[in-house]
Amino acid sequence: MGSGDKWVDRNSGPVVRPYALTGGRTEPADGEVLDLITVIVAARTAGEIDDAIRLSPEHRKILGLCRRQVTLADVASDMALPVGVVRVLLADLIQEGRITVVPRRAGGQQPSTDLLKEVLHGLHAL
Amino acid sequence: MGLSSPAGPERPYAARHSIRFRFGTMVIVPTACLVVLWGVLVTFGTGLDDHMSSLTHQQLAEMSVLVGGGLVVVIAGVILMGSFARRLSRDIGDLGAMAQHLADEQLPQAVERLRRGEEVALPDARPLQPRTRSKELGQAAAAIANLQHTTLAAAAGEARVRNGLRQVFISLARRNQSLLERQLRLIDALEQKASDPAALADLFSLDHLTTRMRRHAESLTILSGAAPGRSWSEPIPVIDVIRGAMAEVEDYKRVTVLTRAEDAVAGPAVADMIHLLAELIENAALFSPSDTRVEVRAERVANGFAIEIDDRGLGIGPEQLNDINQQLADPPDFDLANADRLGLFVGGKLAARHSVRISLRPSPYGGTSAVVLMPASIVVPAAEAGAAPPPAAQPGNAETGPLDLRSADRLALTGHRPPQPPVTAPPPRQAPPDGPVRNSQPSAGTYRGLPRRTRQASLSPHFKDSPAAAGRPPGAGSLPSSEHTPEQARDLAAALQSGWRRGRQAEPADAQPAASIWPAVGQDSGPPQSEE
Repeated sequence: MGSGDKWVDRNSGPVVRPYALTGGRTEPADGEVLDLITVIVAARTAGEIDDAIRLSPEHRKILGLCRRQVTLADVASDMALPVGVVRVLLADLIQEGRITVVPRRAGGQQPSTDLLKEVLHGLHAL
Repeated sequence: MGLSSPAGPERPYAARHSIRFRFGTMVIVPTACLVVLWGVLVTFGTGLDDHMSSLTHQQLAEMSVLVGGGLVVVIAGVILMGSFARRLSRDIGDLGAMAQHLADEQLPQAVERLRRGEEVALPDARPLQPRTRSKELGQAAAAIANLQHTTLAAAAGEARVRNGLRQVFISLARRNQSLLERQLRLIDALEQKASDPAALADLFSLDHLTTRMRRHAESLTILSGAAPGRSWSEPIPVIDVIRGAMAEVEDYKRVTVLTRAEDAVAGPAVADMIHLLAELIENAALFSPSDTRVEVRAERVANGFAIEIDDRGLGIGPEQLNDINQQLADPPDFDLANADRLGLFVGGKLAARHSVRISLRPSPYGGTSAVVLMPASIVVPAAEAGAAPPPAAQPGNAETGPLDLRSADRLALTGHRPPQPPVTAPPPRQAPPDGPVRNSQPSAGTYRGLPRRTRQASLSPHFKDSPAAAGRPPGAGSLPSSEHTPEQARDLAAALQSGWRRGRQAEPADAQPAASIWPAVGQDSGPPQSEE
């Protein structure tokens, strides 16, 4: 047997397969598929995370990450989990009111094409 | 192969007599007959008187000599026969004892050792030399020795076949496992990319199937006496071990894990414990209705750490329960004929490896409850486990380390940006000569190979760390950017130091300190811990 027959630490992959983290669910509990750049933050009222038995370690970790506003993409990257899994876990927390989605700015304030072009030129000029 | 047991009728041992007894009767019966005859002669001798008187004195003397001589010869014969009988009896007794010893102790021990895979020196063809002078007994001894030799040779042959078979099993299982691990890595990568819930659901099914296939491949290696193959060097939290086991079970959605424990399982035992728990959870799920739950609880106890698996099935009868407990406590040698209890056998074998105690008992819910008691030697208490890297469910954390919360703070300070990593952008023209240095940074990617974003890497220096450029979102600005928190100061110092070190390594001869400070400051957002 060569060393190729051993899978040590990272080579063994995650201890818990992603599907086990969500119990096989891929659809968010509230049915709303969050965008990658959705900004989320832990609800102010969430208080202490004492419900250790009901919340999985991943839920708790997400709550920890969301103490300040973060995007869904950042949470997924920090958790090193597939975005789909993080979406489902986040939806659980949102449903429980532990995390809220920060509303986006009104659509009317989107910059015009001219402005974007100008910025692009400026960037090229750098 | 296949041995047939002797079909002949049981030989009547009770009807047998010892050689000494037989010789005794052979000697005593004629002697007694002689004595009786003599007595008869003496008693009824009066009738012979006439006859006797007619004999001469000479004839009487001759007769007495003859009778005396006869008596001496008979007595000598008796003594000789007696001693011969004794010796023969002793020799045969020795031979019998030797054969008995061989059959009862030597052979079973040798076969047992062969079965365990140990080398056993085959004895010479004639190691038995009983102290006998008789040819027949010598032949019998040689025959027994031959028998021993042949039996051991057969057992050794069987052991070789077994061992060969074992190696074939291990080799096949390992190849299987190797392919499955590669498949899982591929699935990991696909899951990372999947954005559509339906696609992810398909991938999850694939993932689950592959994980279960891997478990069966591992079972085969364990049955063959080898380690499962996967291994961890760091302790893994118990809850992750349980959930890892749960993921390997077909009906994992029915399993609920209830624990507050933060203890961890020592790295070397993790793979075995995952497999052991998976077998028990599978058992629980298999023998309970599909609409009931299987609950797994875990808590620290005085003698180590206990994990309880409760099902709501019909339960097992007390006799069978006893039987199973016996099998779990002392796994017998693997019996290919008894393949329906494969899981229990694997569980027992793994438990024996780590001195884990498994006991099954009737559950209050009517089903069965399995309690796994792990010894303290393979459990790392929460306090010590806390010092280790956080849950390995996210192996990528090893790179970001305990910085997670702080990096979240920093992200909040700089506002939300698109997730595309700007490291791929071409470096600005007036960028300091740190490009190659930064690219050679070992932690430039995440665990799954994605490039890791370096904060402000593509900005020109005078924009860096400027709060105006960061565009803070409302509500996140509780920290004024002009102030430096202790964490930020430490990060900056760490980044400076690591930058110096890198600079010195890159240009050992003519590096100027001032030149290497810039790049270091420029990438203070890179995880400084990764340098350690």
